[in-house]
Amino acid sequence: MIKGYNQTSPSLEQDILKKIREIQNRQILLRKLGYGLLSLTSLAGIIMSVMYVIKAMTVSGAFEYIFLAFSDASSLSYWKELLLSIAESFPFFEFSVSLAVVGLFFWSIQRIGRVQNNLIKI
Amino acid sequence: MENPSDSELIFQYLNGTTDAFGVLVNRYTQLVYRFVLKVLNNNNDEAHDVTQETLIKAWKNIKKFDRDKNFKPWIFTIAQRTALDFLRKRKNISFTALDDEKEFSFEQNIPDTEILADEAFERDENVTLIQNAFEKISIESKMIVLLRNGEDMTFEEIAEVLDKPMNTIKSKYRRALSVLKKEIISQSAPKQT
Repeated sequence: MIKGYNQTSPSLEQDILKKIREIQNRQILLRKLGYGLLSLTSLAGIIMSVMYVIKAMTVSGAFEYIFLAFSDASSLSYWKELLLSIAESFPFFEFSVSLAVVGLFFWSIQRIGRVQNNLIKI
Repeated sequence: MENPSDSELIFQYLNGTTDAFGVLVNRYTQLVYRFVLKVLNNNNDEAHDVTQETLIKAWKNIKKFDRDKNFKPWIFTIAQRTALDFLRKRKNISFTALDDEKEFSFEQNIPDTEILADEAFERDENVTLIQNAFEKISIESKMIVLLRNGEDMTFEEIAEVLDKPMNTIKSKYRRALSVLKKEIISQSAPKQT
């Protein structure tokens, strides 16, 4: 009686895998929506942060120093001072934020592509 | 590899071989079903649901599985907990009775009960007799007997499944067999006369 084999419906294994597949599909849909939303948000963030960096560089005069370095060959003679001026006026924080947003954008795009790969085959 | 171990299948699944979990499902569905069916007093629909839920829980928690341990006790732990949840919902059993069960020492138990396990359990004509006798023991004792005699698990594995000390499992097993023996004898006595 204890070892007696109680055969279940042959489709039980298929039912289980089908149920897992359904749960996975739901999870995939939610993740895709989440990552899609994140990539769209980060894309908008890229545009805004790049504009912010440009504005910060204009205000701080970093553009002018960079322009000077490339336009005037004589500036090479005082390159140390010029480099220091660029470093001082460069908006590192804004630039870091922009890089982080760009990274977030590519990461979310990559995740959308990878979400599909863990599906159990039936 | 033709017949990979459970641990290898889990490793393969976690590393992207998605078919590997399907192999585990095919390997364990019938075993889990057979166990929960008896725990749930041969209720096919519930056994079906519990088996399905067990395998899905196993899938959801597969990353937490320690691959140095055996998969079988792990999945049976999930199965017994899921079955108990179903029984709680059904409210057919008294869980206080389960908890209040007295602990008997290993030495206190009847030594000849193994004979019962070997002989009586494998006789088809005793099915009803055993089924009735099973109703006289607690759900936990029933699980111990089912895991020991039905799934050929060691006491160590059963202790892992039920999260109890091994000596407790051994004593409960002996006591359950003793109760089953008495029940079967008392039930079959009128037929012999």
